[in-house]
Amino acid sequence: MTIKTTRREFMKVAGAAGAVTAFAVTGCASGPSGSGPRVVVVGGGFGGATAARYVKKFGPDFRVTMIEPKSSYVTCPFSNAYLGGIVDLATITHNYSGISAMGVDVRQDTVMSLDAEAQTVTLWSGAVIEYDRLIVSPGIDFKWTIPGYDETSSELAPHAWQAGGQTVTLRKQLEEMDDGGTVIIAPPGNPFRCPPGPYERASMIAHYLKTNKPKSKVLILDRKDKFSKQGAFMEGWKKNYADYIEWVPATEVGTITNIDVNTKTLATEMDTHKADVLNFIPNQKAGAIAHKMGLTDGDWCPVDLLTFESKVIPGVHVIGDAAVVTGMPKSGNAANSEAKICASAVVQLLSGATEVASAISSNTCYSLVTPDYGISVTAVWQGTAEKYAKTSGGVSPADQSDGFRANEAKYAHGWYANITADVFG
Amino acid sequence: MNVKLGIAAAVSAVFISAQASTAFAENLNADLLVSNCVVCHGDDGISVGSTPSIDGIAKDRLVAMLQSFKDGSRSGTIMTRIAPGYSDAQLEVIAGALAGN
Repeated sequence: MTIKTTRREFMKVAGAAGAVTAFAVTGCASGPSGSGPRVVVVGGGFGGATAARYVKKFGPDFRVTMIEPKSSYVTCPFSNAYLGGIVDLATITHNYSGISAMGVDVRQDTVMSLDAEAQTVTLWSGAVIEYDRLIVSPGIDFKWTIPGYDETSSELAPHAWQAGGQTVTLRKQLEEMDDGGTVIIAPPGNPFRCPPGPYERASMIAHYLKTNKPKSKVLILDRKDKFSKQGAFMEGWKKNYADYIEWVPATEVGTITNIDVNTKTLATEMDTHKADVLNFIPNQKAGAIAHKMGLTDGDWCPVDLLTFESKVIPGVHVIGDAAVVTGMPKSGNAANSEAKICASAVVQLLSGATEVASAISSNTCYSLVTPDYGISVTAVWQGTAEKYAKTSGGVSPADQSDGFRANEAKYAHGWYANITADVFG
Repeated sequence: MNVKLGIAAAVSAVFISAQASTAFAENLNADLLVSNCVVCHGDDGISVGSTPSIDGIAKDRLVAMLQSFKDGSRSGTIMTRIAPGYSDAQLEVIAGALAGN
């Protein structure tokens, strides 16, 4: 009975990624290369894929296994550019052949349970995988707290906050919308994946509307009174989208009380807002696998900041959006940076080290306001036991030339090409 | 292992507070430091996109470039915001590693 249920769950996940036919490779895995310590990585996103590659880079003889249900990964970074019509889906879709090529055993499978005493994970296929250290990069899951909006109904008013099927649905809805329509974006409350993301999305959708449906507009109904890169976005919107984007802060929106995905209506305690395309983005918590494994304390996963070892389960490390990394944002680049620090720590600890030096982490986050107008926020942090303490960084300065903004847009594409090569090989 | 790690964390915390003038203990692991650069500039500093490649630049020249971003004498889009986050010793290590590629 249990097995049947889990099989259905797995098929749903695999089917969502269009990957049903490919899971047969699971049983044919030849095992990881090497003869050293065994590191198992759960999750193949920015955190997990980077961790798998960098454990192998830092410890070439380590035996590394990466477990990920999907056969390919659609990135959240540049998914807004896809919505704006600037890049196609293939550009933001990556497979794992570059990771396999390093000798990592990439298993298309789902972790069903963790036995931290025995140091094993059991997979949907029935395989039991032993580890010396486990690295989990769970990503996010959603809190379905608003009446009318749950996992099923979200298909009609897509959050598109895990890139993939819903991103395509949202683009399709924008294409089908009549000119003169209103697109409502309702960004989540803190903390959430990619703090500037909803506002880049508003920009890219406004770009599409301005180019194709100039009588339409974007209404942002926020659950916050301020947001990431706010000054830089506002300057860019004023210059490019004065008639296209309206942002309403949380204090003016009020509490959202109900969502009707059929009529695309969002109700608050004081008003109702009717959309033609509704992009409601729920509040967030650590990915389901983290809760299932028992790695959470509340919504997220507490970790040691020098090694990313879980404060709940020894021998298990947690990286990326799901981890509580004080000082750093939840972003793909942050997950990539955390994965490298964690990979270095894991290789050192399994090579006999008893202490791990603190490290420097970094994050560069570009947002496209238009195809030729980019803005960024960067930061460098010094890791300590208590927090990642910012040593430099900041948002793109105000009042820059068109050339400066064009360069940042150009470098955004350069960042994407290079970081995805770093993550996926 | 956890106890040992706890001690390690405590030791480094003491070390950090003892270095109040420079604020933090320096990690000079070249692989980790350079791994921060590659997300924009590519593996070994060889860019596969529209960002500049930074491989094969003589160490002294690269140190001078990084220092000029750090002290603001050279303008840039984001490097002026990134370089000040690294110590002089760390910039030397980064430039040396990239020059060696």
